[in-house]
Amino acid sequence: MALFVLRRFVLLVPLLLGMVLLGFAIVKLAPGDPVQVLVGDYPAPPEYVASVRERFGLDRPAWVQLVRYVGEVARGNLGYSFFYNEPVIDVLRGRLGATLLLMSAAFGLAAVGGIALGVACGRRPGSWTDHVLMVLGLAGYSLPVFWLGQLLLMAFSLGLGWFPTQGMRSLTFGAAVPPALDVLHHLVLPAVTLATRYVALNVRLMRTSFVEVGAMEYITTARAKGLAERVVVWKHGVRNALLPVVTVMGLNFGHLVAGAVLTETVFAWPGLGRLIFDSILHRDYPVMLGGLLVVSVCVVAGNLLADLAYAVIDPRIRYESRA
Amino acid sequence: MRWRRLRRRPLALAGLVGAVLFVAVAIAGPWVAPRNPLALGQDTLRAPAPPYWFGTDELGRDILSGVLQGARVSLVVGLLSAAGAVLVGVAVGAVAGYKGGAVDEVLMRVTEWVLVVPQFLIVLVVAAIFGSDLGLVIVVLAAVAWPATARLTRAQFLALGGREFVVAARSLGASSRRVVLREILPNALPPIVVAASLQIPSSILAEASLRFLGLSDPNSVSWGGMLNQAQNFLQQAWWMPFFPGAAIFLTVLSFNLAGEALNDLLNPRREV
Repeated sequence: MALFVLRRFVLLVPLLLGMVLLGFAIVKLAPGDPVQVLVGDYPAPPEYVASVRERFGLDRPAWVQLVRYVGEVARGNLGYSFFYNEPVIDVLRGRLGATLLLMSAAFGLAAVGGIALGVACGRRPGSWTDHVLMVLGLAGYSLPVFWLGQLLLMAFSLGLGWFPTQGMRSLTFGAAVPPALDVLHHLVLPAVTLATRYVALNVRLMRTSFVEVGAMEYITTARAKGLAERVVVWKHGVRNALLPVVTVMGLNFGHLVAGAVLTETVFAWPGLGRLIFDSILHRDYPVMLGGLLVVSVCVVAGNLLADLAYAVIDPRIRYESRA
Repeated sequence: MRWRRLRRRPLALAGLVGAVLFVAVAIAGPWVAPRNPLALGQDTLRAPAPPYWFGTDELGRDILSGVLQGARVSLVVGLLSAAGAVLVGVAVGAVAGYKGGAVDEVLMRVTEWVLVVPQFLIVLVVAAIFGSDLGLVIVVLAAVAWPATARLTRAQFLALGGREFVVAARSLGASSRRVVLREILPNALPPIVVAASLQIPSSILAEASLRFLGLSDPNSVSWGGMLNQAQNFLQQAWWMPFFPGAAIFLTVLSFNLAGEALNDLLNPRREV
């Protein structure tokens, strides 16, 4: 298992290198001169402009700049943010937690809700529950995440006043609510918004998979042995039906990031997605590139977790033998 | 006979009707719209009531006209970027599956890379830096959306490449080109067509997402752009986000249902 994890980390290198190259190419091709932005619009003496250019190494050929950038990134230095006046790493660190919290909450909801509802459908295919949930599933899958966010916000925050309208924490100091509960309270709507599409997707996958597994002989055997229905469904059925769901969830991490950017925008959630978007508007390229890299690492880590979950769920899969 | 199957599935039929309706609105929208959706008016933030069936926004623009006109952008982006993605995907998948060996290895590594990378963020970055011009958005959306089709096509080519009719064609002296285009591809097509039809709604959603984030041309109307504007008026005007968002939702839902219907028609063995 350790070997397998190690190999996956090695595979990460070309992926991240590709990401760095792509980001670098985009920035190089971008219209506008970053030095001009730094110097400002006032007419500056050309010697000063040249000295700024030299100080940041921007007078060197593009490939020298690229090699230097890659070297710095490899040492964990993502550069300096001109907009926030902080090292990029510090800017990102402040935001990463918020995004991970949002994404893992949504992921948890999608896993638990999707699997439970999918089993409910798959146990009685063709029943009313099944029909209704399948239609809802298709609807949930087609909902634009930002629109759902706006609707929930209008209904439950602005209308009923049950949840705060934006942000991650209340602004009032010394509130009666403990901070963790306060964050949780802020988290409910964004997490539900982000999760809906994946709950819908998981319900459909889980149902199909569960119906397939249900027709297998070992299920009949388990029933014939006189096992309790609960054991048959959850230990024999669900566990085997989970595999395709886990694969798709792993592949959907990248998608989840996109949803997170949109959700963060609707609810003003102080996360990484929103930060990357703002950094583009500010022409704060170091933050943008760093953010893209961090997100890529998260996506790959998600895929890796999905592979490991595989081995936990299905004891037939053992990674050592392949190493 | 297959059409009879379809008639027994009211949802699939509804999807087809919805998709056709959407295309009709996209074509006729600008002529049917009661007003110029960009024209400012005195009646600002009016709730839906005649003569403003969907209400007006903060600048007095008619929402119904905006929704009708916005269909066109969605349709153009959805169809063209899905078409681009499918063409690239089929080309890559066919070459990889047919050639095999090192070519296959390289193409599949690239495909995997594009599949794993956070695609939407790349589209976002490119659109934000180089401008959110319609043509560019279409190209970039296609550029990140092709890997799924490529993998599917490759799998089809691998499965069909060794079948008797392909071997027969080759032994009759058919060129690779002919074998790929005339023998394998037509037989590989059904699942690819289904994947293509499901690519349309996801392109429409991606385009709307970009516009929602504010990457839109102020001189054209798009559904996502209308939702972006509505974000500041959620408290005062529920109709501002409601109608354009419902338009996106219904369009995407229709195409998803229609895609399933197509799947049913083309792959009759698979029961959903």
